[in-house]
Amino acid sequence: MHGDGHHEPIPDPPSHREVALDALAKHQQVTSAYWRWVLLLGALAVLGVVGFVIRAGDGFDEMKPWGYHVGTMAFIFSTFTAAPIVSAGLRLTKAHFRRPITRIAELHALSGLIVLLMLIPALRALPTLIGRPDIWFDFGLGSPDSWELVAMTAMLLAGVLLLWVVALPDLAAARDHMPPSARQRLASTLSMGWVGNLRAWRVHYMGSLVLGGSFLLLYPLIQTLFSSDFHLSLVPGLKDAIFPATMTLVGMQGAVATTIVTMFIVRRFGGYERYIGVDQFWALSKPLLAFSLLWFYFWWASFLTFWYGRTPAEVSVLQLLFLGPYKFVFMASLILNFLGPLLALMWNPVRRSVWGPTIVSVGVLIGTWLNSMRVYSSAASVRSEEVFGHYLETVPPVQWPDLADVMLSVGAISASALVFLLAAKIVPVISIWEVGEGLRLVKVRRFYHRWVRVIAKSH
Amino acid sequence: MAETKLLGLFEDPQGAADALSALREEGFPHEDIDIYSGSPFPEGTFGEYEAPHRLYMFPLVGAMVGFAVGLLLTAATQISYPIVTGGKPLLSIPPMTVIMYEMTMLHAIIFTVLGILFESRLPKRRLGVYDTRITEGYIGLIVACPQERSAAAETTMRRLGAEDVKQEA
Repeated sequence: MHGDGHHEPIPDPPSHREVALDALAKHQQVTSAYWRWVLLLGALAVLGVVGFVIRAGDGFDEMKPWGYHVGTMAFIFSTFTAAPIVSAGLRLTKAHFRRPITRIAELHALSGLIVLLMLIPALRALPTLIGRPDIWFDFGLGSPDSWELVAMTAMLLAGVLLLWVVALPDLAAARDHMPPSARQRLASTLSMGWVGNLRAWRVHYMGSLVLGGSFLLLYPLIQTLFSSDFHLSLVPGLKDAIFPATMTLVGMQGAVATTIVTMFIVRRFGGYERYIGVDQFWALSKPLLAFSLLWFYFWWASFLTFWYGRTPAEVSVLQLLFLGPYKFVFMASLILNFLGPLLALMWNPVRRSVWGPTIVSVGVLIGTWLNSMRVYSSAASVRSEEVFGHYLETVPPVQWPDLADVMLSVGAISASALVFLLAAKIVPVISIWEVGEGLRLVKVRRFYHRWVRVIAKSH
Repeated sequence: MAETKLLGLFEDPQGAADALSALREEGFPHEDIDIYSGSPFPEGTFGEYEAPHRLYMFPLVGAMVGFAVGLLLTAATQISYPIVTGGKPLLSIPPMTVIMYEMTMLHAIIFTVLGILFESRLPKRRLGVYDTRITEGYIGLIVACPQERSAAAETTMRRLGAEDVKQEA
């Protein structure tokens, strides 16, 4: 602002052409730093496979050794795989600020493949359902294995098809402007001859909403199946009706945090400062704060029920999950998922920055990892003979990760990041057509003593 | 009568909108005129004819098919091989609900994608008359017309600001 009270004029936005050529030039560029990261993450992913082979050597008769495997799978599902929730939600609500960041969120859908692969051995290690309280009621017909896999496949399909359908116009742009190469040919094949006629755009708009909506509808189902089969049904006496909803909320918080951290990396190291600005971080920090408050509310609602009940079964559950061997892990996730975000994001200057929401999001991701380990590893550590009982007689001690667990966890997370990195060189990481559409809807206007941006509604 | 297709390239959407109106006034039928663009414009921006699509039917039909498959799979197997456990009802509703929901969503997703491809007329093996500047933000005005009227269409498009006019080979 000037000393006379007049605000600085807002610079005119770039044209669609400038955005398209600049974003495609960045997309085309493959630096040596990129290959170094691919190699590093690839090596760590291979390490994860070695960790899995060591773990598989222990067999599938006991759930206990697979606790960290399941925890890692749940972590990836609650962070990377959940990220398209951000894109689908913002597109459904027609949020204008979403335009440069939707693709970042959608690219993470591919991590569902890692979750799907990890789900197969995890299901093999589950104890028999017969005689165990769960949502399958001794149903048979391939439950839970087949139906967990079908559900996860459906979600993977919804995420990947959402990514592909929404990216069709940008794949066509890559087809049109990249020099002939294997990547250009792949973009050409994937674009399926898109030319962007009126009818195709209308179908594209509706299709992206339906696929996004399908993703949003499937996510709670799979969190319900995971939390029921790998947590609730393994701890005798644990009756927590809102736990699947809690884990869905954890997934939403993780989705926002993953998107913010990826936005920061893409902006800082990919050279996309021009597109991903403070506006995007500021806007996403608000749902992040809201989900952090809800995180506490949901936990408190569960905790209080057990706390007031105080039957022997409920005391055992409290000991196992919150007050006993895992109390420090729980405290850490309480701080990182609730207290930290609350104390940091309640301040507008922190929300209205690039660093503030990013640091909070890194904390949230660490907290979510600890929380997943606490929830799933503690449940897996319950003695096999107790799983079929009515309450937990002996609270098992902390199950510390061994070398195979560490390798598996680091490898699976690295593989999820690697998938993003590789896909980002096939599909442009910025949604060019969405940014282009947004540019047309914004006009800079004089408003008495200052300049303002006027944003039109597109539909 | 030989048919051809013309593509007029406009940098300014206003020029494309004016050219479309002019072509309509000159008697080119609305269904023979189309617009190509690198990003979507709000419906009716160019005063274009809005060809209806039925994409909404695909997820709906897919969901119904999926629900029916889920219901048949779960109910029919339990009825065909009845095992009454502890006097409880034969049909176990909670797990059936999970399976029916999965099948409903899975089929809705598959049908939606098929619908997107069908309603967008994709995949296209040949792009036809096209220009790569469209994905840079130019507007392409497409006119399908008899060979002898192509000169008139080209003149109109150039008069109203077309930077380039291409004709299908």
